[in-house]
Amino acid sequence: MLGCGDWLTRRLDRRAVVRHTARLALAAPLAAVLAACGGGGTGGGSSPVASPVASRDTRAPRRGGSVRVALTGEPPNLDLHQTTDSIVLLVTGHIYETLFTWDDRYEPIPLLAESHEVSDDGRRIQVRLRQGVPFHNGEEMRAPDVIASIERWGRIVGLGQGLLRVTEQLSAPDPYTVEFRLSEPFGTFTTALSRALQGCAIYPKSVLDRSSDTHLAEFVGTGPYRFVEWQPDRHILVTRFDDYAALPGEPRGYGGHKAQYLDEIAFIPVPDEAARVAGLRAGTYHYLETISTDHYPTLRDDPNVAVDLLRPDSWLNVVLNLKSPITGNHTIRRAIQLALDHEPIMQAAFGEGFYELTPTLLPGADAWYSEAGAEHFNPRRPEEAKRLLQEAGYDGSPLRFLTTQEIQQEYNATVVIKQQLEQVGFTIDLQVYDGATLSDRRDDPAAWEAYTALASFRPDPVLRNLTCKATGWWCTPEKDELLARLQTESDFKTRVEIWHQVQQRFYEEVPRLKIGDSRRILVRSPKLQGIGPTELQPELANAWLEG
Amino acid sequence: MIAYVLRRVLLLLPIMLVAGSVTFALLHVIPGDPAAVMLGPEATPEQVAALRERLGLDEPLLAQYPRWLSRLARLDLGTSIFLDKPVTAAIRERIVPTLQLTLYALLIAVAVGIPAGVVAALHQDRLLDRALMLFAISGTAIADFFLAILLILLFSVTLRWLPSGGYTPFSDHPLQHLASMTLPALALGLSLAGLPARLVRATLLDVLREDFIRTAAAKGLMRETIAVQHALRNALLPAVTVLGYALGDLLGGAVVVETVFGLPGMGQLVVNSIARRDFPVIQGVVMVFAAIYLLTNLLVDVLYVYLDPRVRYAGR
Amino acid sequence: MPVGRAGAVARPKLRSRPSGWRATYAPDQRRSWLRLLLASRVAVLALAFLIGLAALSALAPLLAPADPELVNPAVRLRGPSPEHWLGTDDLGRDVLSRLLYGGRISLLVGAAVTLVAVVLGAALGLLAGYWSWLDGPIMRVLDGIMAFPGVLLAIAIVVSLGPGLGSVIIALALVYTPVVARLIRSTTLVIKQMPYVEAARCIGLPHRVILWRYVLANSVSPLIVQATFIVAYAILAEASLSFLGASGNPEAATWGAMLRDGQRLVSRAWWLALAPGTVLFLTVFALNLVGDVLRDALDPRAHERREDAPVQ
Repeated sequence: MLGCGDWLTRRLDRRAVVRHTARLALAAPLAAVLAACGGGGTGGGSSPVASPVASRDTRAPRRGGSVRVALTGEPPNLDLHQTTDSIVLLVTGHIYETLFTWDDRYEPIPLLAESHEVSDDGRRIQVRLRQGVPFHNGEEMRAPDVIASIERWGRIVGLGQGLLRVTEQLSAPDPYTVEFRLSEPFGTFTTALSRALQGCAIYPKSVLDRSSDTHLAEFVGTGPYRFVEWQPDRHILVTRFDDYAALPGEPRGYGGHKAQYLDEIAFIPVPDEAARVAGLRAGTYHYLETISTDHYPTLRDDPNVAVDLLRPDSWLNVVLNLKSPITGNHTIRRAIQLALDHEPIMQAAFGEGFYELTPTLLPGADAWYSEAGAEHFNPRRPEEAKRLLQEAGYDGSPLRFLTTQEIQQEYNATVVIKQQLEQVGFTIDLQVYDGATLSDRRDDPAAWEAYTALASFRPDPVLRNLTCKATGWWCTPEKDELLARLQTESDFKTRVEIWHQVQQRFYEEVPRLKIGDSRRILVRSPKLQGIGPTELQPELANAWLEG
Repeated sequence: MIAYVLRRVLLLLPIMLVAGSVTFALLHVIPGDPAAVMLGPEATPEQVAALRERLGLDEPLLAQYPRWLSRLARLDLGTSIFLDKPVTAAIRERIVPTLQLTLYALLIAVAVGIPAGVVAALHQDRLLDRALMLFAISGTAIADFFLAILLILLFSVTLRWLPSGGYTPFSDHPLQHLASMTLPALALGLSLAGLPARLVRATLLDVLREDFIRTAAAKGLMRETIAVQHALRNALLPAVTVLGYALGDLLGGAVVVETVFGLPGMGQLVVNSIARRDFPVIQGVVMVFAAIYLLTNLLVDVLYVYLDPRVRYAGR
Repeated sequence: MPVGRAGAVARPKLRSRPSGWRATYAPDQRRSWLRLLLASRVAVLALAFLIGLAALSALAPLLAPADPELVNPAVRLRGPSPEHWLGTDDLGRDVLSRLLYGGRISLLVGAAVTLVAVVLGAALGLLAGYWSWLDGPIMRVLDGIMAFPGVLLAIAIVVSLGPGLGSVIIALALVYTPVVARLIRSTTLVIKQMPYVEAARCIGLPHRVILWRYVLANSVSPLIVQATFIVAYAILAEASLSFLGASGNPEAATWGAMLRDGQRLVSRAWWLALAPGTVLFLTVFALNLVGDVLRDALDPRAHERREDAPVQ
């Protein structure tokens, strides 16, 4: 009970409450969940809606112990700059740190930086670094390390390229200050440097000197846990970094104080889903990276497991290929939009109670919630879709729909979408591949018309890849102009305004279809307490194991 | 004898070449790009192209094949794209869990199969015989990935006796090692136990009819004693032989079992390498698997000649 | 389960000892195999089960209560009920209907793999056994294929050819072809030396006739035994392939693919694994029984010693 109230007040600001009421109308399942929460009943660790935040602070933390985390597979590498596969975050989030990070309301706060100053014209930014922050290899973090890291990141990552493009000079006036001289203002400076996935991790210059843009020589950072060893298919081991320069005070989202209660964290790849679930129930693992919500009833009833139901923070979308002669046609894309009924799609993918239907493109990021274009969201007008198809002169040539069974939610959704589209007259060629073939196919504009993708939480729209380069190739000058302004603009209200316009265009031009928001479950051993925010990656730096 | 073995060893070379070339050809028609897999779903084409270049993936096939051959002649299997280390080193790390798994599985198969076969033969045509033989076939008839999860549910989740997965090296902690290997070995071994059980039973029945056994029985020895002392020795030969040939199957089964139990063995290495398109590793593992299989078969054949004087390899 | 080539290979290997059945092999055995099979009660039961299963699968369009591919997410993961006797899967599809239709595909995979492997393997085995100059090259290539762990070879082929039932069949057929070829080669080598074959050659019968009428005709019995085991192993191997992510069309799933899906949710929805797991198990079990009984019936020694059959 207390947990529930706590969850409501801490998670929902006033705007969000209003919005949630609106959402309730759209999504009965949430209502059921909230009602269950209000009604109490279960309580304790196995309460269906005990947020991780609420489960914190129940007992005094204990120092020590080794936590085993089951991963869905092997991370491709541990170079945060390099890979866009979000599985690495779980590991790297504890090894590396960035200049800025996110607080619990997903606003950027300094982490390795102490502060930053922007000149009045916005074209000179000075970042003051914290002093006495050691790397795992014993070196102290200083401006040259930061500059080398930013330069490498700026060569590899799209967002970094955007920043470096407007950077005329990057220099170090003193060992603890980094100065950017920009050709034009870059309003999302701290957002860009807070980015988690493909984030600007600060590596020691000595390591970068031995590395290249495609290869990182050593996994050294400033984070609370130190990389020990990586035995592929067995484990990745990190241990407490005793010289860690912890910030004083309380934890704040991904920033603030990190207590490092755990001695050691082992990340173990367990590719088989059933074995992952069984392993958690058997006590072999303390935490699962991610697990299908289909397992919720089993895990909820198991006293050896604690399940937390999270707020919806990811979204399912259908990416359309705008370079294809079929889906390049706007009328046909509109027909697809009108043909779909999102409710069964989300049911098939996530199960009853684990989704919401909202038009926002940034679920979980309350500040960016938008209803723009909502009239085009889930319109369910198959008759009109049929008419549009005729109007467009659709000749029945097959729509090649790519999917993989490796991500069950995407596959399930795709099968339902296929049947719905067939009902309005589309011919669907469902092509099921393994992950590697799929990503290969997606890069070829001539090979497909559509695929379904699950997109994870993003705290800021510039982190949502809707550029012309992204697969699907949504290229309209007006939209690209808006996205560019979103990057350079610093005034929050103006940015929200711009974002509404982007979302409006998203629904009108139909480059993709947003299907719905999905909830995740956080499953852990009841002994594992104090897990921090989990939207980007689970923060274990303040977690502890009860004896 | 020596000439025979020498000739067999020489014959291995063209076979290995066939296996290697088939894999090589197969790998180059597999769609998918290791660079793209490493960089994840949102990598830019430029990023992928840069990585491809560093990894040397852009070379044409015709240039790669002769180089692969010449390296193979020097037992150099190349460098893993993903693991960033020589393939031989990767295999050396992974071969131990797989060998342990197959060894334990073989032990279980023998420990379960041979007594079952003996008991069945001694109770020929009675209920116990039928039950044991049905059990033996059951092992071969169940899908091993399903057997594996059932074992986990019983021994890990319900009884909480054994870990559900993971691997501890023997040198780190012998007891934990055995605990972590018990379920995988059971999953693999039980599916194999039917083979020796059926063989031992059939051969034992044959042998029990032989004259020397009748003589022993006439001398007043117990049937059980005869079976164990005389007949079993004669019956073991075919059982051991078959298990030797079964090694290829064991390695194949290890692939599935390692995946369910998350063991860092050769099976997972090759399955994951196929998923990641780590071509040098796939190629290397196939060569090693083929070599193991062929050498074991050779060993079994030689052993056969040695143990069964009736067999003479004249021709072939 | 392992792909099962050892089980299949080991038997002829074992029996091919010089003192084994091969030498005493007589051409008049082949007429009696059906009679012998029917003499065993267990074998009759197993055979009846297999025929019944094939019939149920063949009649699936008439028997299935629902369209096996029609999704209905609103009723997903429901347990057995009067509307859905075997419950529904995670897309709300009727498990019973999928089981019936899946039987068609599973049995088709088993049959097609066996057919291709037997035809290809028998041809290669005959060539290798009959003409000694072809023996070396053919057997080296087959040994090379044999040296791959079967599952790996099959995954690699399926991934290269692209997913689909055809790829799975081709891949598994290739895995079992060497098994059949080895068997036929060894019988050919023996039969070639038989007086009646030499007589046929003396009167100038063409090779093609000798191969067909004498050599192949006399290899039919061991081939049938072998084929029975290959069907069983192929059905199971397809399940393993599904599990490892190399499967055919997942919408029209095989029993193996259904079991894979069931395994994923085994603690949540037991009925998903139970139904395909049981039929898969029973089918392979029955095929093994039939194979065992056939093999022993065809082994001349078994005439004197009925007890050689593991299960009567």
